[in-house]
Amino acid sequence: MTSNSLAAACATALLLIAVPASAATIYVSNEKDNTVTVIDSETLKPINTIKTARRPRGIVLSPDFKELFVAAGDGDIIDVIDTETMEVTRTLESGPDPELMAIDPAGEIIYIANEDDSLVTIMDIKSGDVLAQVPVGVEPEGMAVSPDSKYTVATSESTSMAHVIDNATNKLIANVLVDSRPREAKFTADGKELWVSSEVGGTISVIDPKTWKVIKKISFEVPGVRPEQLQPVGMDFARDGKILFSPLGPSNRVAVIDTAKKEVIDYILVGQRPWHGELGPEGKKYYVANGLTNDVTVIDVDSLKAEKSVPVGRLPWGVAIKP
Amino acid sequence: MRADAIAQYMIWKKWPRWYVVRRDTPEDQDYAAQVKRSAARYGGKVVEDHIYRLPPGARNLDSGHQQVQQQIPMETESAPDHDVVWVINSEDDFGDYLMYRTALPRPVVGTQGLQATAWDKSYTESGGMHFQNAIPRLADRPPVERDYTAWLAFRALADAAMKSGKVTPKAVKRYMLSDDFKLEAFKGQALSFRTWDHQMRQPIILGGGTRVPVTTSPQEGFLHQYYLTDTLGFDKPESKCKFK
Repeated sequence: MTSNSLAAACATALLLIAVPASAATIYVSNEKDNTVTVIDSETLKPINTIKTARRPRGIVLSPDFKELFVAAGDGDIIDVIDTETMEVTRTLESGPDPELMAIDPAGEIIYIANEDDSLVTIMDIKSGDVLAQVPVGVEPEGMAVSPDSKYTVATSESTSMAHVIDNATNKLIANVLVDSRPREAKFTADGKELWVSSEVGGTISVIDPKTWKVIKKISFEVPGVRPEQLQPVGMDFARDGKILFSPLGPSNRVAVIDTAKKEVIDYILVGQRPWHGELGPEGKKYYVANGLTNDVTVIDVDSLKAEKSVPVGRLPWGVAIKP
Repeated sequence: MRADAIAQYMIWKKWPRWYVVRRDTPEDQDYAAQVKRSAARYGGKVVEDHIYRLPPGARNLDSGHQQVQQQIPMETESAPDHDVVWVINSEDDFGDYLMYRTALPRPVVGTQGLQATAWDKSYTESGGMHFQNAIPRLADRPPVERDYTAWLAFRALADAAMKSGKVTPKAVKRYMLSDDFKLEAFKGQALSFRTWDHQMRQPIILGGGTRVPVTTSPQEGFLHQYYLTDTLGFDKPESKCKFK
């Protein structure tokens, strides 16, 4: 299985080398419109709008970019979209109220946060079979699989914890207390750090996966902006992991953090209530979805400047990008 | 806090003239004083403080609405110019009669009509669906404000114990009143306690009877040097509370 997917990955890589640099495809989930807007990264024009089940939020691509998974919270289902035909080809019975998902690096298993049931559903991607359900804290949201696939982390918004699941046994091995309403979890590429954003607490906690202890908390400060509006939600590493982008919701800004120093180096003004973003091909642009202004801001990663705004559907939530 | 929450929205709407209709119970007198205070704070005006004297009678009657349909226009037709009717009826025996029945077509706010509440069954923002679903599961009915405030009280205690790592009442209380205490409770921002009167700072939902909430206060443009939520209710310099 692994060698197969490795072969597939190699084939995809070869294909990418063979074909001259072409535009990437940007997918944005529109929570209020029950659609996914598809945008061409070159022209920044919408090329398609895909209907989904109700309340699409979490949006992730399979590692081979062939399938796009959209968690429809009110539809109690995950829509699987074929990225070639841009149609919903199948659905996964995720259990109630799926919000965010993570896929293991091999692309075989999907980990789903069931917000309403305080569960993490572990599912075989191909068959849609539920392999296990792990009870975690109240209102799980953020999901992350470690680069070595050993651990899966779920954050629970009401319990304020990052719950660590051992992927070999599907059992909880650690519960790390962070600040209020943790939203997203991300491992660094080397797997040596786990970053967790706390929306209402207004901090990002950096956790050492050796001890599962918080080693550093990063907070935010913008003159003239109320502290309670500086709410980190999404997190995306850029420039080979040297910086991290974190959209700060109601402050209408994206924070840029130096990951070595763990300090904020910049704040970029974007649209209203940005929650999640994604890096474009070769990590040159960062696309962030602004929930209240119904658009996506394009940020240049080198200059850290907001360049453009692209209109999408209503209440855009998350972004996924296929190179 | 409730009067301020409604008043801010009225000012934001540019509906500053309020026709107060109320009974004369001590509770209603107190609420009326709060509305007058809100008017003074935010630039609104109580154009008349009208006492409603009709007996409530039985609410469920054969041919019941016909009389009300006659009475309410007569009761409200002599009102000075106003933008909204602000009903104050803590006993809940006539307030609902006002909506759609006033002499002039005016929105009704206050204890009936558009209400200020810590929780409303229409509210689904900031993870609120979780609470909306939890209560029917436990009690087989939609949540009311009292469910939320009771839950909030226990959650505040539990969260303070968990985050501080302390369990003695004194230590938990100290933590709850400190700047470190930031409670997540489906309001999209951290809730905390005012040190001067131990009231909880919280955004207030304006709704009631609608299937989507109308708004939440504090409203845009009402500023405060520390917490926007402290624009609602009695701020530190205004409070006469003292703890021994």
